[in-house]
Amino acid sequence: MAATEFVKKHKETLVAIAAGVAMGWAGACLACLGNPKNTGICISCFMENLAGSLGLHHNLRMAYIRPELAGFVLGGMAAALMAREFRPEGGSSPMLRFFAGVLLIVGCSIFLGCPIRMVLRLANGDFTAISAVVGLVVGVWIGFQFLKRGFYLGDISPMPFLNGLVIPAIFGLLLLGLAFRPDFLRFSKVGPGAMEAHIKFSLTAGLVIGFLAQRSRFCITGSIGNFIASRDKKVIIALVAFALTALAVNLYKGFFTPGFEGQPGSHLSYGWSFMGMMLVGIVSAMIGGCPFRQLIMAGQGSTDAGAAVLGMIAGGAVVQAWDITSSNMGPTVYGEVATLAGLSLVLAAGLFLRVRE
Amino acid sequence: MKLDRFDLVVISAAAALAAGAVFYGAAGYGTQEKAEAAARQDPTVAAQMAPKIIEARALMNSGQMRQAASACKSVCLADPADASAHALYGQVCSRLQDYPDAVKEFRMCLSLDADYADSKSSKFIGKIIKATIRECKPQFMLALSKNPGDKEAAADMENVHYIQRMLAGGCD
Repeated sequence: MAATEFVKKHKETLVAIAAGVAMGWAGACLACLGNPKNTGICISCFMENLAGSLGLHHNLRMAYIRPELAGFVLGGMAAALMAREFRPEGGSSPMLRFFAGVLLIVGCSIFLGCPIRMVLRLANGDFTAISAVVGLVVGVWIGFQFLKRGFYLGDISPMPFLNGLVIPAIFGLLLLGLAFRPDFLRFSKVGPGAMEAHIKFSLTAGLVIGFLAQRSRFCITGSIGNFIASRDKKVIIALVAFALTALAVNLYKGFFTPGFEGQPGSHLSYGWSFMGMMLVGIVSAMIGGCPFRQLIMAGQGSTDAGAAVLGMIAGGAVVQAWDITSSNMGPTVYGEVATLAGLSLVLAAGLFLRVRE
Repeated sequence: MKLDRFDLVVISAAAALAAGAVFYGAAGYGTQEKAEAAARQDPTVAAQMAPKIIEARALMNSGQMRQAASACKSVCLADPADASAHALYGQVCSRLQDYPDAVKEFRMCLSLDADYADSKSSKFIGKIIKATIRECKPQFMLALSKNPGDKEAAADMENVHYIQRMLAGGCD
């Protein structure tokens, strides 16, 4: 009886913790089951893989349709439908959100990973991710300064039902593409794109995480932002649960290798990691969620988040095709220019989109 | 429209970042293209060098390391973008216990063609490289601990760390 009362009283917190635990467990386990090291889940890497599979860039080592992505969107959609929260809506600066999606992937590609992979890298003992954590927190703080001072992307209005189905339908079709592998889709034979956990594990993990993330509103930048803005501990508990679970799994499996050197998919340009993640933090705060959250919101009918998701796919193509993405040696010249220009543009947009009294 | 202090801070930051982008763009203009051009193999030179690589491999397999090293060196000089030549030269240097050159050549090889670090590829030589690193890393560390200002040992360690990152995998 007391247990039932406790669950009822703390239902939201418990769902948030469940989402964090699922994310940490799956993030660590998918890397053991075949996904690239320290990359059990990484939205930006997966978007680059997806763009490669669709033939949008030339890097044959980065071409695969990650079932996790479809799982996140469809799991989020299922949860929204069950809770009667599936609401097709949008119209709040979709073009800007598309461009924001591109910038999210640019920032992530400089650091080599999205905010989720940042946590997973830390949980694997990769201390090179520390500068990125600082960058992300600073970025979210800057983004919230804009929001506090009237940054506004416009009203969100209801849309005809079909609009909300577009992104889930695209990811459903991509799953079919993965299953039947038609000639026009490309799949890596070597490189990170060829490192894959079995589809049934990846898809199941994606669906479960997507479902729980929709129910708990799990978002890395949102957790940080809410904590900064209102000291709200509910969602940050999910983030802590995520990091601790991933750490526990890595310790148990013997994959915890602490240090700065020899870490998979990393580089030692800490300043650029900081700048890249700062860009991600500002953009995420401005559009209301990290890359992962955009996928979940697109699944629950938000066409604005859908525009950001399409922007992320375009971003995945751009960073590879234009050599913006960093390598183990560090960022490229194009990556450095793109980061600085992206930060400058975001600050300028923040200024122009302030609603003044 | 009246600008407040926040506006002025943001305008200054945006302008500084834009100037930084222009500066980095101008300073690095053409460097990436140059690097890409240097990494591109000339098919004619590659065809000319192919028999020499076979010869060098045969020399290495027959234990004639000095001759193999000299053959590899000539191929690497003639065709610096040939990852297979660097891979072979690295192995020869490793057998000769010339570890600084071995890690330098392995780094060159991996930066030109990451397939050499990929266990799914037929080119994979990760185990050989790891064995070399096991041998040489303590030596480089010892040299650095004796003389922290030793630039050569620092460069050797940097090569080792790059190779370790490449061999560890990851999505990049």
